[in-house]
Amino acid sequence: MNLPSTSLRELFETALLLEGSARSAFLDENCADAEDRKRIEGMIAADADVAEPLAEGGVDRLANAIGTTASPPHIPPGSRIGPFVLVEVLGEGGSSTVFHATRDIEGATQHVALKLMRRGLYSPDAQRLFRREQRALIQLRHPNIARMIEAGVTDEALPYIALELVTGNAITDHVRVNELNLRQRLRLFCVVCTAVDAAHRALIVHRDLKPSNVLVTDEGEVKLLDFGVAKLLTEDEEGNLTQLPAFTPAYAAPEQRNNGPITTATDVYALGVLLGELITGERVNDGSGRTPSSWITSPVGSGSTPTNSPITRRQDRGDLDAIVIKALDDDPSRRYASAGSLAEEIDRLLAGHPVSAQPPTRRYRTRKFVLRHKGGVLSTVAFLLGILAALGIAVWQAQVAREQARIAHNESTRANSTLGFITDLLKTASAELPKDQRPTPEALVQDAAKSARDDPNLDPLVRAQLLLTLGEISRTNGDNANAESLIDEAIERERELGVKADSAEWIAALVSKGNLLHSTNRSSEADRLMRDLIPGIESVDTEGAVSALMLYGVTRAYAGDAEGAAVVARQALAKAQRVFGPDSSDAIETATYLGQLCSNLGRYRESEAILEEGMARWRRLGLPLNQQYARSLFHLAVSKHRLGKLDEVEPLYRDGLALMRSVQEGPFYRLSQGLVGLALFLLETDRFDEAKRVVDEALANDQQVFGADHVRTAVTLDAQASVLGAMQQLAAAETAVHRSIDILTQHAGGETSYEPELARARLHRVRIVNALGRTGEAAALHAEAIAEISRVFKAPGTEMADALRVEGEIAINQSDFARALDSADRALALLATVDLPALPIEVATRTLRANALLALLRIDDARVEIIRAFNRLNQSNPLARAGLTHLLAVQARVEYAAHDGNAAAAALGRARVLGVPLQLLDNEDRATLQRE
Amino acid sequence: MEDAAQSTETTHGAFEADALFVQVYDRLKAMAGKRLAQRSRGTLDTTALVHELYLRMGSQRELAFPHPSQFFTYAARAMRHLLADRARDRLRLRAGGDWMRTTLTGSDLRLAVDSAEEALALETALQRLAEADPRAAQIVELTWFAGLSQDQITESLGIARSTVARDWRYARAFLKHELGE
Repeated sequence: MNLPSTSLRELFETALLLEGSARSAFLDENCADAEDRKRIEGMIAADADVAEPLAEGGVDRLANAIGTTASPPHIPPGSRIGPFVLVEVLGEGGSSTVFHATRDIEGATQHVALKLMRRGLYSPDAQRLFRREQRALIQLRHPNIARMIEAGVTDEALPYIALELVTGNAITDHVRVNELNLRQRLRLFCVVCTAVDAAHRALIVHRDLKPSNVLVTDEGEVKLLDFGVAKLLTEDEEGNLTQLPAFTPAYAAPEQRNNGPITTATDVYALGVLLGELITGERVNDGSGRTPSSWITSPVGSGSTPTNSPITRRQDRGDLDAIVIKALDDDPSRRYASAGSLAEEIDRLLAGHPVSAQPPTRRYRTRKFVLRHKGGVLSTVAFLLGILAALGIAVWQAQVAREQARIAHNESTRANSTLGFITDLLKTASAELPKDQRPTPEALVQDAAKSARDDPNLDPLVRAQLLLTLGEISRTNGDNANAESLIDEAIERERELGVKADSAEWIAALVSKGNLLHSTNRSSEADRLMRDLIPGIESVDTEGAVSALMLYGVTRAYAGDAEGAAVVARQALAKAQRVFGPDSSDAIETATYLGQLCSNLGRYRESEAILEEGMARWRRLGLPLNQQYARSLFHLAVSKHRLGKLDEVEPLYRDGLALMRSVQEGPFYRLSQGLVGLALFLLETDRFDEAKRVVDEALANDQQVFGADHVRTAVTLDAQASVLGAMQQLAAAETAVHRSIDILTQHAGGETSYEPELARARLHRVRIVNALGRTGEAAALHAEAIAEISRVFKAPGTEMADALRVEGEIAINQSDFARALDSADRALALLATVDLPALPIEVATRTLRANALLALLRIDDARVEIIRAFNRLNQSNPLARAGLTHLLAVQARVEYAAHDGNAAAAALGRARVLGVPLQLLDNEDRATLQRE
Repeated sequence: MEDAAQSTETTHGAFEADALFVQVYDRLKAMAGKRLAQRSRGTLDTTALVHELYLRMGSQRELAFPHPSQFFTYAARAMRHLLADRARDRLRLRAGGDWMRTTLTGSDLRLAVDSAEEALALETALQRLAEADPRAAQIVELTWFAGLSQDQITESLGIARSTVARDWRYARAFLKHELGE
């Protein structure tokens, strides 16, 4: 090393040229230093070895393995993250920064702990998974669990979570500082267990329980932080754990370190570590195999904190040791089945009763669980079933049913977090097998069903419920046939067991079946099922009973019984408020759902009132602004539109659409409703080009997410025809409406035959054909259309009035003016009976009447009618300039007929002031306006 | 080893004090950081990064390099420092305790720390080589950190192909011996 470099290199290079003894001789002669000699020989050996100095992957391998070590981004106070304003940094973690943040909710300031991640979620899939998980977490409410208030993703794709702001000390510090005695510590620990158990019953696993996540406030209240957050932040694109799952090694269960299935037993393990720490002041799972009590008198090693534990060893020995050791078993299936049973065990100990945990010596003689060995999948499935049985799945089964009922009138959703839990578990059960050997979800459900049937230890009622749950999982996987047979089996077993008609189990099973029937186009069967179930459960105030009513409301609406649907939905709301409390998210969601239903049923005032109240509560409580909220915005927009509150309509649509787009990027089936509604609104306010853009976007979206032949696409095509018609592009409008009718006709005949949509589209086509001047054809088509309408809409209303109006317009083209007048009169009489007639239909009918009167030379009557039409439109919707121009043109023709040139000129002058482009007017109006 | 690695920060010398070098370093660092942050499993391709920067700088005419060889010399040195700096950060964070524990699992953390140590061992060996034979060290730098082939290096440095091959053979044996110790 101290040699001049040239000589070292020269020696090396020369030695390389020589072989064997010649090389030795050369080095003997030229390299006296033993160290240099060794070095050169080493280099020659290295040269002969073909391996490169840097193993495969080169420096990139190193750079990637080292990972990112970027320091946290500096975000100044006052910055906005989602709806929150940052106040100060509360802490830094490895992957996140926690801020104190605030936001204004209707004048009040809400304080939150905002956790901002440094790693972004870049793919839509990753963001969707984040939202799915987040929904489950927001539902989690428990006095001892810090509530998740909102979660979202910033514009930079960084996920953030807003949590209830809690100030307190880590539980271990709390017990030490306050010198709590053993009984007090154990009681505190029971509170922790009970809270964890509640979360487990909602199928949420904490995954990172440790003292810094278990706080005790100054009031002595236990608050668990970051429940489920670890999972929320570790989903990657495939929904598997990433290479960076967040947990804390000291509290992590073996299965966590080995990437095994994470279950509620994982938290039980962490609780065991915490219990050991609470009673000894030391962490007990150091792998030394020492019993917790041996820690108390052990010498304090360097770096560990003094225990300060006011606990004598004698107290601890025996039962407590056994409890901690059972909780810390390497084998998840040998730990306490739930946090609740751990709490009960501590309760028994506090009460002086014998505990169930056995001394380890006896326990270890029993068979070892084969989780990670052969038979792993099946035994894990069996283990999972055990956990479900221990948690009492009835609780969440009802929740599943409620969730399903709430969304029943829409598409089935895969975003059910509770089912996701089970499905994930089933998947992780086989995660260790090679990919091509992994069982399909269907096979796993079959395996699980078989285990449920065969396990002799299962309570028969639990068995029935498990089968029901597996049926729901099949349904979520889109396997309706298997779902139905499992649900039927569950119902049959419950029947054999003589389960009472008002029991939670029976209601859950029937609601499950009803949802399946409804979503497989057998709504009338579902309707009968609920009709028979409901009377028996009137006095039952449970989640399941709410679900049943909600489903019945939907099936009543499908059966065309608007009154009945609204009554049932109101009962559902009242029950939801009793069951969940009026300010609970469930009750509010039920309310907004009722508001949406009212809007669908045309009860706009009711819908407006219910939605506004529900949405105000929603915001006040800081519930997440999600799809359900966005749908409420759309429905409120529809109601406002019909109620003539036109100023308020557009922002509602725009906000709803923005929200939907934040839920999912790109095409999304939920966008359709809002885009079509917005397009039709824009149309009425004369923003034709914008309406066209929006409706075209809706159509492209629908064709992609639903397909070209879907009913939703047909409805959007009909809306496009309206836009094109208003723009006088009649040929294109006819093509669109024709296509819409074709699609709807394909779907006709089934149970849900979309007859109202089809009847409306047919009438729409008649109008377009008539406007194109093909009067004979229009008359023939109209006869069919009006027959359809009177058949489909049993009570004559807006649709029939519109049909009569179109009949009159055809009669005018046929010069049968008396008949046109008769049609107009009948239509107006009908509209007078409708609560909230659609403004465009009323105005069009009055215009028709004026035209008929004009043709019959009843000039004065015509003038009165056309002015009435003008005033009606001008007052309600002064933005409809094209419509107003048309009315003024008609008025001008009336005045010409009255030979009052001045009045005609005045009307035309007013029309020209409106400045509507001529191509937006029909031929006759154009001619009138161009007349000098 | 920690000490030896630390010393690079003070021995960068005049070359590293060059404003051009600082700019190249910063640009590469930003690009690498972005690349790593972009995906959950961000991967770094050193060579691609250097060449991307070369193209960018060429198209924007923002930095004046009289000859591409000078750019690659700078870029390779910058990438080398980047790797060493990141390795030091990683080891420092490990020493920092809890900070890191939540971002890496046991096995990944071990891999990260092992890799950081390997990278610093490499850096130390390269420094020793640079002391013994600066040109051989530069050829290693250009090969590993800028991804240049021997032909490209021949062209860039304006030396004979056989010289490059000889330097490389010497460097290879030297480094392997250093790292094997």
